[in-house]
Amino acid sequence: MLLRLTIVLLLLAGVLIAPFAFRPGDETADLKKSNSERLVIITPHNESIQSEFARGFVAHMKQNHQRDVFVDWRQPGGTSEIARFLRSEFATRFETLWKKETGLPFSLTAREAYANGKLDSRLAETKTQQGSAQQSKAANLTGLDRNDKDQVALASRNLFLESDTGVGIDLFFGGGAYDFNKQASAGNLVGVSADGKYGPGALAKEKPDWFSDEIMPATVSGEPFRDEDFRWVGTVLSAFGICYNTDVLDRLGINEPFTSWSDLGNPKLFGQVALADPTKSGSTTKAFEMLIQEKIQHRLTTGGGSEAESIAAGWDDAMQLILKISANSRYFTDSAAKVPRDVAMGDAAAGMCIDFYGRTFNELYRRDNGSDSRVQFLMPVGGTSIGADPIGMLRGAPNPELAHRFVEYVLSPEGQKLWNYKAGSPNGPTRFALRRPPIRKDFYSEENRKFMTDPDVNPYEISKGFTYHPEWTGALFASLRFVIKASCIDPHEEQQEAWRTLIEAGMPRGGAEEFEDISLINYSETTNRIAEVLAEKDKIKEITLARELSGHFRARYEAITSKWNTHQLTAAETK
Amino acid sequence: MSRRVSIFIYVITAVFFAFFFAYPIGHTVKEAFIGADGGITIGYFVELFQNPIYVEGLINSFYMGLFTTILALAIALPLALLSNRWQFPGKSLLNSLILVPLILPPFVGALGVRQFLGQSGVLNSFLIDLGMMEANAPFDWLGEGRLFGVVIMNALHLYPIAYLNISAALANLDPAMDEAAENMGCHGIRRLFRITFPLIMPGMFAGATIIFIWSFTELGVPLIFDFSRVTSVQIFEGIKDLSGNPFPYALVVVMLVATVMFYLIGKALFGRENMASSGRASTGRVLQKASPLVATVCIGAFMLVTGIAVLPHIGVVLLSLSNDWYQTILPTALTGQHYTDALGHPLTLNSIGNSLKYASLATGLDLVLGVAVAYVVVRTKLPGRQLLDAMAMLPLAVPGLVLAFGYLAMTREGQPFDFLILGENPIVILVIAYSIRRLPYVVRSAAAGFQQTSVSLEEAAQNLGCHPIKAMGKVTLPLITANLIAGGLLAFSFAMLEVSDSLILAEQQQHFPITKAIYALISSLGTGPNLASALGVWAMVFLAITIVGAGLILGRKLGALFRV
Repeated sequence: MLLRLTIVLLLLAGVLIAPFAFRPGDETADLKKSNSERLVIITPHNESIQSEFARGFVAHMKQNHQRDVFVDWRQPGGTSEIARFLRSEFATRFETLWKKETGLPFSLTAREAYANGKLDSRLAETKTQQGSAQQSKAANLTGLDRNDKDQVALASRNLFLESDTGVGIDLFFGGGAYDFNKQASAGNLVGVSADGKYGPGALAKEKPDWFSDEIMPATVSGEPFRDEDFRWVGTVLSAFGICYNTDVLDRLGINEPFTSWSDLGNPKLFGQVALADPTKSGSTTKAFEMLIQEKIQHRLTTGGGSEAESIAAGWDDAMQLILKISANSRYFTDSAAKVPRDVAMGDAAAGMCIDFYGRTFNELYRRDNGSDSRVQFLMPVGGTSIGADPIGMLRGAPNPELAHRFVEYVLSPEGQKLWNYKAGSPNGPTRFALRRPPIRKDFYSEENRKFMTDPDVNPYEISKGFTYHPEWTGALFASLRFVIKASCIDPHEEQQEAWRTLIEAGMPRGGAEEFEDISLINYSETTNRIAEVLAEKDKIKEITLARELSGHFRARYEAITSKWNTHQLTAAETK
Repeated sequence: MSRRVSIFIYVITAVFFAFFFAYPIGHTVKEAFIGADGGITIGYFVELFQNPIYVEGLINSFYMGLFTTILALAIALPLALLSNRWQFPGKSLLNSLILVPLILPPFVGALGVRQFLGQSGVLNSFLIDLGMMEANAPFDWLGEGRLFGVVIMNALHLYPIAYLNISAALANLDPAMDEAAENMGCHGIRRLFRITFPLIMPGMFAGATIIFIWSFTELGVPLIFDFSRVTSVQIFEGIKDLSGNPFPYALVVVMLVATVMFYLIGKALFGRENMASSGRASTGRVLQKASPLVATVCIGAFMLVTGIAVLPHIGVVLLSLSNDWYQTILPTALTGQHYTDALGHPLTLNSIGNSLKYASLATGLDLVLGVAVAYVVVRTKLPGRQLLDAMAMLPLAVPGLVLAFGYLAMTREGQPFDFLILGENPIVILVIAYSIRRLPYVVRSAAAGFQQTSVSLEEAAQNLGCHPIKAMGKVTLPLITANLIAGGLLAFSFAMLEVSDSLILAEQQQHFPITKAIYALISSLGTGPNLASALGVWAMVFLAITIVGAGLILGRKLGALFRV
């Protein structure tokens, strides 16, 4: 008994001590750093980016400013958890302020209004009518009539925008322009701190040359690279492309290399495509939007119709393609790393994938004999738009000065090197090559190329091949997600089954036509009926419409399955 | 025990539940009852039941729960009976090892499964090597597995819970009952069904309930099989949706109501509590020494089940040791580098200490709360106690994110529970969160113990002048120690592996528990999954030693762990 006890305790002690044996001897092991100044950053960036930028920034501050700083990374999950986290945090902090300032309960009206950017224009109107902003604030808060919803809403929004309500976090670093625009319009991001001295907006005044067209243009090929009020600025670039596994393609008998999104609709890929989920990520929705824009562009150059006709026809082409790609797909995932990994492991043949994952996995699975990698990455010609990956300062940042320094560091030539220098190169990352294209145009110089992991990638060159036209589909961003969910994600099982049936029946023309019927989600339906319901903001109406729409698609997929089922056909023929 | 004390315990546990379970959930799901005009609506629920996709999801969830429970019982019951009857070599080790499959670290567990069942995975490579499969037409186990695959995977993961509870019940069984049956001419199968099963029903029910609710609401396994038409996955997808529609909260409410309903129906059908033996075992159980043949069968059965169930774990272990593992049965090259990197990572040391601290405190709190709730439910006739009982099972059915965001909101500055955050340290709310989520194991184990232990023993002590609380401490608690150890071990192990609360509530790196460290590591570019696997292996080894060690120390012979 005692012997057993001793053995078990010794084993437990051994397991507990093991990590100490691997403890690195350097300074990084200490997480607390109680004497240092602290910068708090919330981020969906991966651990490699976090550790390289923390190390780089700490060294930079020590060397150039003789200050000890410490970066406190916060990561409650991916982009969608961060959005939820910020919403929950700002709501509870503002609730406290609201109750204190007005003495009123934090009603549903006040709760919805404080972060509603659509009230801003009306707020500005009332302010000009009432004279100075200061007076209106005082008038709003003291004599507020709690039953006047309109008044409460405006007062709530006004109080939030004029406050320094913070959530104890300085910066939000990483995501897509879409996510940051949403945070900015909610009022959670600010261009300058309350005293007006710090923040990306102040940095732009300090270093106007950085924000010139030669170094960091405001837009490129139609894509915004920063907010006009500097509530967010791009730091690095990213794009969606296709990654694929050459072994699996060989096995499936697909011999031609991929060139465009349309290749993912090939029926040979049934059950072998990995897709990212547009309902959970703005940048994924963007990738689907690019696919549509590619089709519109194609119609414009070949069709000869008017622009309006081409937009409508291109949208419809794209929807048909999306149905087929979705029918080929295994899943819609919200995990950016899952797709390239599944492709690399042969669990999927091809998938939608962010550029730096594609490049990293390509490198990782290069074969030992030096021949090419089994994972390939492709940016579809004319179907890829380069987007900016932003950073922004949060309202009420506890340490705006340090936040300012960090933004300055990330955008400086020195900080930009971390994104694409090889690991171990001078001023580059120490442990991980991050393999991302920096935003500064002047970075892509001969001198830097020597140290770059991807010297041949110049996003500014790539983006010349494609111009994003926000006026074509930009207003349909939310509708696009809705349409894909109703026609592909919700009835996915039935869709796959119908597609499988058609493939087994040799893709009869009538069946393919039935499958590709997108009359319910064509351009005019989407812009009129669907966009209108979504604009009403009545959540119950939204799900009713979603149910009707997905019900139609489901019924049609089921009809296709029963109609073209080869077993039934032969049975009917023999009778 | 006096009525006053009972009511006191009742009120305390009910209040704790109201504050730390009902309140945070209500905080989040109330949106599902508010319409566009700000008034109260049931529109979301009407929509839900009109939409065949969600109705089908609920039905599939029910099947997932039902079939998993049946299969898990079918695996666990024969093993428990074998082990209760025969003495064979290596038994105490096999008996403890059988619990190990339960301990699968989050995030990387799925990778371990994929490594085996993927199209270029181990199983297919093996079949191709054997010539039983064409190399250019591998079978897509995960893509084609559907509900069937999910149920098998679930059952292989969860049968230890049934085994643990059934073994405890068998150990509590008075051998005199069996002997009496034998003397009266009731043998073999007949005795099993007429005597043994009815007597161990509380234990079976305890295990089956946890397995049913767990698998009814299981999220990870259907996600591995890309099986999206079950309610848990639909909730998960809905909560992450950017459109911010409160519809998924309506699904959460329906899921909670369904869970309570199934639980109460199950309890009415199988959980009747008239089986307490009149006293403790009046004779010691004498185990039969197994003949070589029987011993082989016993050892074979244990090793087969454990061997299959532990495959995902082996996958994680090999993943942590490999650089590339693709289209081969074993990784092509082994390396120890990932351990150096993962265990030496600045996050790791701290997170191990934190997890141990959080999980032990949470287990302690669980034992106190669990005994209190079980006491009220089993030993009192207070009105509403059944509701408290059902409530105590609900944490199994709530999506982690919903509770976690509820806790987050209620502990912010200016909110009623902001005093629970000490400075910036989330330890108090994390311990409460962990303990609420893991409470069902302890409540079920303790309740089964109370049911099998006659109250007359306590009453005897009271008649002899012992204070009720002292009688409980001196008489009943020692008698149900086995049940408490079983429940406590489960609570501790799963608290160590808790995900959602850890991700949301542990904000600063110095407070990270090990699961959040694994989450952070898995995002490292390139070798992330290998690093995370290495840390996951550490957690598995630690928990396996804890569980197997507890079995070895506390029980020299079979079942002795459960027979105090």
